[in-house]
Amino acid sequence: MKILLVDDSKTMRNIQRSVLQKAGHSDFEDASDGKEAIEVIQATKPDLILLDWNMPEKNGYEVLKETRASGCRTPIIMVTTEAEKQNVIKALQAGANNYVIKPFTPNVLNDKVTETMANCAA
Amino acid sequence: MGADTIQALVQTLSRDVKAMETDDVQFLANLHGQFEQLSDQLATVSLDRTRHATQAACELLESLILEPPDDAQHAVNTLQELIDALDGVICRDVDEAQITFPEALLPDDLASEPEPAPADIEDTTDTPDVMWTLPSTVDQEVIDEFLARQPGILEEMESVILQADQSDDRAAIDQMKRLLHTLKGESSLLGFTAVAEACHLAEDQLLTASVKELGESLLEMKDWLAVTFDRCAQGETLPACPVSRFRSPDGVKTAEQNRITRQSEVTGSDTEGRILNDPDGLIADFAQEANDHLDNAEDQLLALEAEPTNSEAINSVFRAFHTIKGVAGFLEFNDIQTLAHQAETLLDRIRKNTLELSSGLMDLFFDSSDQLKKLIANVQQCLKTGEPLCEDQQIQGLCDRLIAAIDGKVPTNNDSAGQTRSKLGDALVEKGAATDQQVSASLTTQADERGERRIGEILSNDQGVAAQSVGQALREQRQADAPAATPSSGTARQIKDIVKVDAERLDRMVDTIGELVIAETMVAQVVERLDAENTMDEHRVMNQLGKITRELQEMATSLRMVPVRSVFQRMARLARDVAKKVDKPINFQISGEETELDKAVVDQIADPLIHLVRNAIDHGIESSTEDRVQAGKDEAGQVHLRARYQGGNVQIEIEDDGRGMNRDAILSKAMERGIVTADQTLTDEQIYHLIFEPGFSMAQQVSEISGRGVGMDVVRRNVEAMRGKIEISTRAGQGTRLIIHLPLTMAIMEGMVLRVHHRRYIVPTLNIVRMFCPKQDDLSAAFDRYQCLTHGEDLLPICDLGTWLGVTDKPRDPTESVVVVVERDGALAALVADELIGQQQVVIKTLGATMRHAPGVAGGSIMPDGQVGLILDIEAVFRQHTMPKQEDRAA
Amino acid sequence: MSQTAEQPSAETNENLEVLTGKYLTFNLGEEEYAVGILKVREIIGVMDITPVPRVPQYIRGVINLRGKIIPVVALRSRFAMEQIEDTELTCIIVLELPFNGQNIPMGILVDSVQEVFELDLEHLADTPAFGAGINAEYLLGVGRLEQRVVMLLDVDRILNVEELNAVSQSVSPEQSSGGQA
Repeated sequence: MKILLVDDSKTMRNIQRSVLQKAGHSDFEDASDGKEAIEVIQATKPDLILLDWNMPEKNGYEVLKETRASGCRTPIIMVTTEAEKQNVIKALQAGANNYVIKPFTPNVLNDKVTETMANCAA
Repeated sequence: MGADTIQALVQTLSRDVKAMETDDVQFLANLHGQFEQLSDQLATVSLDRTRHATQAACELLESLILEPPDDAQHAVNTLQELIDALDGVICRDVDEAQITFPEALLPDDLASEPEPAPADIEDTTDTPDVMWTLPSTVDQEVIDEFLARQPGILEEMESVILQADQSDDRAAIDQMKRLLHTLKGESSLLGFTAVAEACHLAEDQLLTASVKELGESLLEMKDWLAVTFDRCAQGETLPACPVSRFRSPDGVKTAEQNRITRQSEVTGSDTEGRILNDPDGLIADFAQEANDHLDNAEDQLLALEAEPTNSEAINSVFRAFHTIKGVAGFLEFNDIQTLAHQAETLLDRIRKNTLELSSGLMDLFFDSSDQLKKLIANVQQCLKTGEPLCEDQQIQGLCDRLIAAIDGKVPTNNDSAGQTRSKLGDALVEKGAATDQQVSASLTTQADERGERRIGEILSNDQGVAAQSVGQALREQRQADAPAATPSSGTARQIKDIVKVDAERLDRMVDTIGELVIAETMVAQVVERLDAENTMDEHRVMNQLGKITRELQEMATSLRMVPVRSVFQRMARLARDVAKKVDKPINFQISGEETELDKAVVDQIADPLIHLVRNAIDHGIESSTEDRVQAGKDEAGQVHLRARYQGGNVQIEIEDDGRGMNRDAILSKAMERGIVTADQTLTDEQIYHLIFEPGFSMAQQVSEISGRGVGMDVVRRNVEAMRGKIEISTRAGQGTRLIIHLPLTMAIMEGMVLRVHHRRYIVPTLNIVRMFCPKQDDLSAAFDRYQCLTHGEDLLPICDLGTWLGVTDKPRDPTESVVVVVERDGALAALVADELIGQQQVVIKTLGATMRHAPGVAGGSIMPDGQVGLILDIEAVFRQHTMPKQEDRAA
Repeated sequence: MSQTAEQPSAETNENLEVLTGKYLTFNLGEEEYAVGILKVREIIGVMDITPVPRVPQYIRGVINLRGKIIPVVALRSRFAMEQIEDTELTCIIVLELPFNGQNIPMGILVDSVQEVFELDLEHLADTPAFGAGINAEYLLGVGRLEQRVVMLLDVDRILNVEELNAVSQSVSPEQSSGGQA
């Protein structure tokens, strides 16, 4: 399963990658800003997207809307911090499938991934 | 029309709610949207109660999405009920007032609040001790370091409490809260749940009470903390908290159950001393990235200086802090996370235009950026050296300011605005980027606006100076100013740049410098001897060397110097406690606490001082206040502890205005105890010093406080071990003053060098009263056997150093020698030596473990000619050379 | 000297094994002694020794070793041999001895220093029952070097710091002279 990690912090992406690798995933794509994210989604058609909210060029919300508008149904998990919890609802209404709050423990992230994939399959 | 829409909405909702899956957050979000829509629609028809219920449903859904509860089913049921009710009102035209909305959604229908827990619980005396174990997430090293830090922290706590009586309580509250807050966080992470809880409750209570009011309880708590940490270090069980008001009524709750205040949004305060492991290079990456972000943020901030409405810049800065916060949270760098979070929150307000970006706020952001850089540098350092990462609370002041700003209390920054003013203007003129005219015009404008805008802004907006030049000049200035520019933070503490140095290394360095001093002296001597001609260059060079060496020496001695403050403050606390125990009103003052002494001395002076303070309060001050008033004194006993420099030494005094010492009573007691005999002639001074004899005690009853006469002789022994001496000055009925003379440092001593035969010996200057060459008339022979020296009114025993030290067999003729009169405890003796070499500063060296107990010798020193000069132990002299007693006259 | 080396049994072999290594030999009168080289810090020619009053006789005094004051023990005195005048061959061997978990320096005054040699098993012999005037318990063993007999000193024992300390302490002031005309 190809997972796209979108975050402007390389460290953050590495952390996510490391956690997911330990759970058995091995196919990753990276994007470090909104514009790149759109391009990579179109080019590589990932199976799951972990989307950060705050990025230069385009932010996560914009990426989300554009992606959904283009008809892409790929499951998207929004990655957010405490302060932005209020935006979660907005994101979910705009088409995000799930959210995870950082800092998250490995278990939480893995659970959310599993949960999201299960719900989308249904 | 509205009605149709509403009906349709309700029907859709009805269907959806029935299909609701609490796991699917997207679904829930959609439901939320629908309820919101419904709520909006309901506003157009006046169904207020229904609307309220609907809004409450939105909130319920929100909480379902964001904070999934354990019992989601309950929420589902509630929503189902609501939908049924809605259906009733909307689709079946039931009267709103008749419908029962679910309890959870309408507050009026809610059952009443449960009774608040009773405030004060009876003190249960038998609360059992608690066993404490190391939490699995924590290293033993972390605990050790935490425990090592606590005495200092508890000391500070106590000092704050004691000060609250006198000074501004406001500052005391802030400081106290800070201490409690930090301790709460740390102790909860380390598994000290009772401590965390007590701190939390204390913090709470400080919101409404003052430190002064809570004083007793806080002191009690502090004592309990000291015992707790001590016992923990010993591996014993920990005592339960004895202070009822800092204990929750139903046993120990975990600190995690506390309300999350803004400051502890991240898990409380920080683990101490964490060793950083970075197998994936994540930490290194983070540090690198974070620094890049901060550099970028600074650039953007400078751009904002010139152009405060640049939203791209604001966002950029926001993102920087945001990202740093996120990753820091992951890597558990709590300080970094907290600070970044506060800055980010503040920026968010600005971003959303709920707060205006003023010059005061700009400063805050720059400060935050600087501080974050420091914290990151710290992380990098620890990563490199493998030292544990200590997160200290130096960000507290900054966080407070940030929070205040978030709340809308924007700091005005007139002072630094003034500072920046001239420098920036000058810098720009120098660069040719602005003219003098422009600068002065801008200054005028700024003054008119009362510092509303920064000079940079004015220059670029009004005067048309290129924004980039301004930004660059600002940046250069900031870099130049970097150390000085931080305005004083809100804390009362001075943040000094402190470097932790291994004590052993420090000692070795001080030793080596001492040896350098000696070597330099030797070189100087050799150079002297070399040749008399052509000495200009050599003189100059040697002078230079000498100067540098002396400077080094001074610095070396000062390295180990610390103020006596901490010891004095302990005494303040002790005095208070003792005064309470003996039930006397006491006014305890300290002064000169900034006086500095060698660290070793400060450590050792505590015990003697404790005895002396206790004695002063317990025995010195009269028991009845009537007696005092009658004698014309204040009701409260005055006890004063002071320190001052005197010559090359330090004097520590304890003065009380109590009874004073009774010479006759002491004498008779001493005779009773067999310490002196009836026929011995003693000076007053000597009599007073009898209290230092072992086995002597002035207490009629041995009190719990003052012990069994063990105190005073230990005091004297301790003081002498520090090469000091005690002086007593007293007046019956008026009071007593005990003065402890101490050398400034343990390593160096002022000594008088004497020549005996061909060897040199050193007598501590502290003990010397006089030196002279006696004449025949001065000599006499007491009882036809003992040689004595008349000196003024005194008759002194003679100690011939040559024979006493075993250097020669024949004693010298005193009239052809130099006599040094030494003093100890009021007694005098005359030392006879060949020649007086001179006074000099002597670096004391021990004679090694083997000869620590060599009688008569206190140590050694290297003389300028390389020889070893022995330092005489004056006490040994006196042990053998007291004036003879009556009994010895026979034979 | 008629004692011949016994054929070492398998057991004693191990004990003797421990004694092998490099040693520094020196003379006290006719006899030759040795100390393990690891304990030797340095060798200096005899220098002015400052006597310390009222210490046991075998403690000659203290010297200044590059700024550090260290005690010097006259081994002759320690072994109750007769005192002699210092010669130009007289040396002070500065040793490092354990005390309280640290190594402290101490000097021994010897008549002359010989050489450093490598002691192998074949050089070793059992400690003779008779001592050459010194207590056998001060010896680690005896070695044979060419034709000479070298006695391996247990310096830790001889210069046992605690013992020296205790002895110094026990020399009470009253026993010494002074103070009276």
